[in-house]
Amino acid sequence: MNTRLVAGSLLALALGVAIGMPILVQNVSLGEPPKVYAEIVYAYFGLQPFSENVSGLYRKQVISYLFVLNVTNLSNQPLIVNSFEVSAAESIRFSDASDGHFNATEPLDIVWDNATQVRYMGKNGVGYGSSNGIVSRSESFPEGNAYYWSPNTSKLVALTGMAEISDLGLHALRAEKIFVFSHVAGKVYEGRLSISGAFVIKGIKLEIIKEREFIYNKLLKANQSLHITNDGTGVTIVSGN
Amino acid sequence: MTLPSGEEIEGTTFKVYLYLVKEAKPAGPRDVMRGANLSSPSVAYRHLQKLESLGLIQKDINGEYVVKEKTTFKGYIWIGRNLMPRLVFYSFFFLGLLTIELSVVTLRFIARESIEPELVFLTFVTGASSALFMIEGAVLLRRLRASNP
Repeated sequence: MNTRLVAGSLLALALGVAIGMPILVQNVSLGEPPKVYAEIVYAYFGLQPFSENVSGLYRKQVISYLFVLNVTNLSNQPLIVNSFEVSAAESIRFSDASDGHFNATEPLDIVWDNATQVRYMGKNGVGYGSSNGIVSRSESFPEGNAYYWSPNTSKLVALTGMAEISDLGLHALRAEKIFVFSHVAGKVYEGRLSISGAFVIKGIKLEIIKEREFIYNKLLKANQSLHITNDGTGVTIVSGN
Repeated sequence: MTLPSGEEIEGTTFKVYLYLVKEAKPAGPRDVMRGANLSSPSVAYRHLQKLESLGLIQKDINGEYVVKEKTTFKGYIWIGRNLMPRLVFYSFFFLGLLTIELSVVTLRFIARESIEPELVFLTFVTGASSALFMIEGAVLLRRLRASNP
């Protein structure tokens, strides 16, 4: 009797496990997490012409900004990318601390070059820090098809807004050579596996227009312009006028 | 085969029936008395007659009793010639599900992902179901073992 009872119990247990298994499979990541890469390909900073008489502003030194990210799904899985982070500063650098956290005592000032540094999330995470910030923006959008990336495809995403800028930040802009940082995150489409995209720091050289506008452009050709959708995030490139 | 509505066998009659099913061969009152630990052949005969009147057993040409067909008992399931409480198997089924749910909760906790309240509630309900079925099943199993010759 005992043998049959044990056998029957094990069979029932196995049946329960088998029925619940799809839930587990959906939650377990198998193999390497999918890779996604987001790089700033266009950046615009415009110093706003606010006069001292404008009321309601704490600081009259305000810039409007536009970052265009080229987000590429490097994997063979469809992804949803809904979290975007960008920043620009005089200096941005990765921390190589073994625990992945930025060591505040390390000097941030580094020599500018036009190199691009890329890190992917590892066991110890990715640490980074900045000094003399110009603007920093992170945005998480609700999930939807607008942020759906097919396997091995790229899409442009814009982040726009306005921000106060410090004297040091403005000085960095006028010096033409700054660093920009980008990172995106999301998850596998119809799965629970979270993804943390590449952390990208690159040195960029700005073009200054009339001392008030600062542009970095690796996206548009001479006869092209950007068309930004009215939700402020979708971007298409338009040729001609 | 099921017992006629309102009829059920229990106590010594149930014990005699389980003995006959387990033996799976014709048995007389003396065999039943010995096998089911009864006080006398006449006691065994009385219970055999009752089972015969319910249509669960029949006499063969030698006048010995054999099981006609295994009947179903509420809450029990036949596995071969052994009667088992169903609730124990239900309990193990839910235990299997609980194993999966706990694995998912653990994985999400390790990955620092969100653990939805619905998942926690579901895991609790599955665990409670498994525990309740196990307790009730164990009670039935003990009763069955007490009846088993």
